[in-house]
Amino acid sequence: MRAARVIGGFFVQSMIVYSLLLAMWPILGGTYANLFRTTGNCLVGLGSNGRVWFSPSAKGDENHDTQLVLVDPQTGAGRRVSLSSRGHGYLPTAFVLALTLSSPIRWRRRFWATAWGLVWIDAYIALKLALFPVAYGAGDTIELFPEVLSDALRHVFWVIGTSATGWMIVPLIIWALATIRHKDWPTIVYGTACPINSNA
Amino acid sequence: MRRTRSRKLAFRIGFRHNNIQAQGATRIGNLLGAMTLVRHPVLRAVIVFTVLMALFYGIVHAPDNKVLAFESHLRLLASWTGSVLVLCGHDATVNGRFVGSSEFSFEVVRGCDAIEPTAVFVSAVLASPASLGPKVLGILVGALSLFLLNFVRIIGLFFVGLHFRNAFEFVHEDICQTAFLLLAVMGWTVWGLWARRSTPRLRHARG
Repeated sequence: MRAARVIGGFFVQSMIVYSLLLAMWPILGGTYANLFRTTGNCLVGLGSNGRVWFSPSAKGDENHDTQLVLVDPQTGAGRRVSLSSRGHGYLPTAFVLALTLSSPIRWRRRFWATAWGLVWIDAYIALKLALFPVAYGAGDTIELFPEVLSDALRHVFWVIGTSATGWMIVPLIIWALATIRHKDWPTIVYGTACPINSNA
Repeated sequence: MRRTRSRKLAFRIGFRHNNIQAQGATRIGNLLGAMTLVRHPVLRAVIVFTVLMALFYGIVHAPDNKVLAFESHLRLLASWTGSVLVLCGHDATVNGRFVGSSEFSFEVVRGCDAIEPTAVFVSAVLASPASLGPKVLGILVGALSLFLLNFVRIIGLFFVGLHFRNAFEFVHEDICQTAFLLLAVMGWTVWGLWARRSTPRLRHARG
């Protein structure tokens, strides 16, 4: 009964923290979107010889605040893909923060879990930014692979990168990695500490 | 050969911990066995979970299958939602996946079906180290609970759209989807606590 109460409390608390973080988007959104685009340009824009870059979207709403510009090197034709820095970056970050800050563990451990969670979720977002040009096709980039492999890569990227579930499952995994220590696993699996640790 | 190496390792562990060494080789053997059990089920569970989820995304979310999969499920949800809204006194009509009324209308689409959270729950239960009985019961109860909760969520979203139109997208896209996935994980945790008590193998491993 106590465990169920702890789990229920964690669920309610994490959803409250998550909602509060989302409510802060109108204040933080502009700065976050700039940071998102700058990171994207540092990761892929600079190395693409001006063929790929991230820029603010003309539409300007929160679901299309960024656009990925892809230029075909042979024809010079450009293609623009609308992106949301909120969906791709802020929401997963907020979810990880909500989960780690609400975890029923000591504050010191919670602090480190939050710090590691932020590091890993930022690495995940950076990976997504680096893979956007591959997923959406940047001139000859995608032609490096056979068509079947390209389709498979796009599908995998869609699942882990752009689908709603993808961005929710990845933060969950990151939360588990950041919060649950190696020695906690026996307790989770067997309901008791590892016999060696408890006897030593 | 493997057994000899295990015994050597067991004695090394025993040498480091004097109190364990004093209890004899049998005790050390038990500890080593427990240690092996501890390490492998976790790894196995992670691998099984990943494979099941990959299968789910590979089949259910395959580009050719995006529209057709779970169409009847979506229509059923729309139909039930319409019926409940009529019972609540609203002039709701259902046309396929569309639920409409004079005040607010919406379409039940992929993503509103709670299939992904259910897949996460089912994969996690199947991947967990428990016997078949608790797994089957857990999947049945968990999947049914998630289905019913999702049904309640859809009805709730109608009322949010009706009375707080501006908050609809926020509640629908940001809060409900996340809450549902978290619910699936919480459900798995609760099931795990229950299954641990009713699985003989795990009870044995504890002792």
